[in-house]
Amino acid sequence: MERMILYPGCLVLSRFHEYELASRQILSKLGIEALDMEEFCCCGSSLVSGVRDDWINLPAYSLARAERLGMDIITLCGSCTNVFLRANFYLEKDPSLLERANSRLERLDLGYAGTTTVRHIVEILVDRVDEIRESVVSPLNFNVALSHPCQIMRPSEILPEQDTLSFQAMRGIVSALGAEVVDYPAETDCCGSTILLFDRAMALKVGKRKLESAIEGGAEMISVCCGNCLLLLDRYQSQMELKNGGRRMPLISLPQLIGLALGFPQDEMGVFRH
Amino acid sequence: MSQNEPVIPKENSFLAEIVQASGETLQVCYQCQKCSAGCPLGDAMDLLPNQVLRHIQYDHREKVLGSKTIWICASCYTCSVRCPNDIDIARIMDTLRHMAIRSGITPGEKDIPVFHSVFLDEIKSRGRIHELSLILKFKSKTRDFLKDTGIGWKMFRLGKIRLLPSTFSGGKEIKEIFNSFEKGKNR
Repeated sequence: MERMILYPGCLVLSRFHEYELASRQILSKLGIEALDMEEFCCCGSSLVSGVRDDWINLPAYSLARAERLGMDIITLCGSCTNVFLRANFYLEKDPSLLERANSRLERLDLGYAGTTTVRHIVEILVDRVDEIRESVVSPLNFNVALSHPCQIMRPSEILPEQDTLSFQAMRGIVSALGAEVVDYPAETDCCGSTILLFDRAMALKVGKRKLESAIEGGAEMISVCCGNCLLLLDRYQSQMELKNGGRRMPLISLPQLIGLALGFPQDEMGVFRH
Repeated sequence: MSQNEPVIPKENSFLAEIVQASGETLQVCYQCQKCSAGCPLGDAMDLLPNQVLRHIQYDHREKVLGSKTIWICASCYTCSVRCPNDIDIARIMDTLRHMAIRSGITPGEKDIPVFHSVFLDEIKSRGRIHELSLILKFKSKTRDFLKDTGIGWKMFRLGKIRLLPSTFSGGKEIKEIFNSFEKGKNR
């Protein structure tokens, strides 16, 4: 069994247990043992890199910890993935930056050589899409709109060369489950969640635009793969006053959706916690 | 000089500063406005992303560092992906925020810089974000307590709010990483 570290990130850790638990179950079904790393720190999100030019030391700390354990990291949230990918990219490109980061880590008896690979769960799943397709026991017969974890593939310079992270990744997985994937104009838009905590009105406006576009496209539910999307589009949906007669647009994370198609019981997949 | 080589910015100019700090050759921007057309938050900005780049090219330091735009940017990187000249515009926004904080220019947005600093303090104190105390600290600084109480209660009932923070043994180490920076050592 392949062993990897599951890095839930602060947001998923404290708010979306169902996403984390479903991910663990799906990963173990696919032969990956998802281990915890006790000493991980907050990645800093896109917020710390906005105020401190030494933001890179936060991701460097967690990366160094993972390197010591000799395992790669699986992330669940778009922001964490983005921060780690950028950190790895800049540290590799600029040896003096790596040296500076290491001089801090040294005081903590740590060091980072730059070998920890970070992959978002979508990337892990898309590599095993055939296995998933073969294990489907109850095909999903409804229309699913996708909200992609936008930050995992941006900016383009940090993308690894293999193109498993194109916007088609989630699409391939969801259609392998038997569901119809709905196209809608706002599909690749950012959901707006990163601004939620400090400018709620603006975030709700951006989220509403996205949800209404999905509703117009004929979606019966939206599948997401990021804690930030879950936070805004699911938890704050009641404040958006959607133009669909007051019905709720169900949101579900990709691992939960896979779990349902693979025949895991609904309560084990935490579908009632949304 | 090859035809494709970017203009070398004038020494000591605002443009040169940004190019140096961000590592992005933003002088090659030819104002196609693809960044702004794709920006999900464009309608809330006082300067559109392409205008920010233009103002930097013209050395309008106060205008750019005092704008709302640099704080409104959600770092979704849509602009960076759309740019035909491979300028990572979101990274430039980060650089502008660092400069704005250091410059002492009054920020165009009041609450957002406060949130950033509260977020950072929260990481410094435990190494991880505890959302409840993050929100409480932010609200006590912006004096706005009641806006989220309804939804807060709903989330609490669904088990979406942790009362106690998750901690780990390395929490103190994170403080060390930041403190050494603040004391000016090993920058």
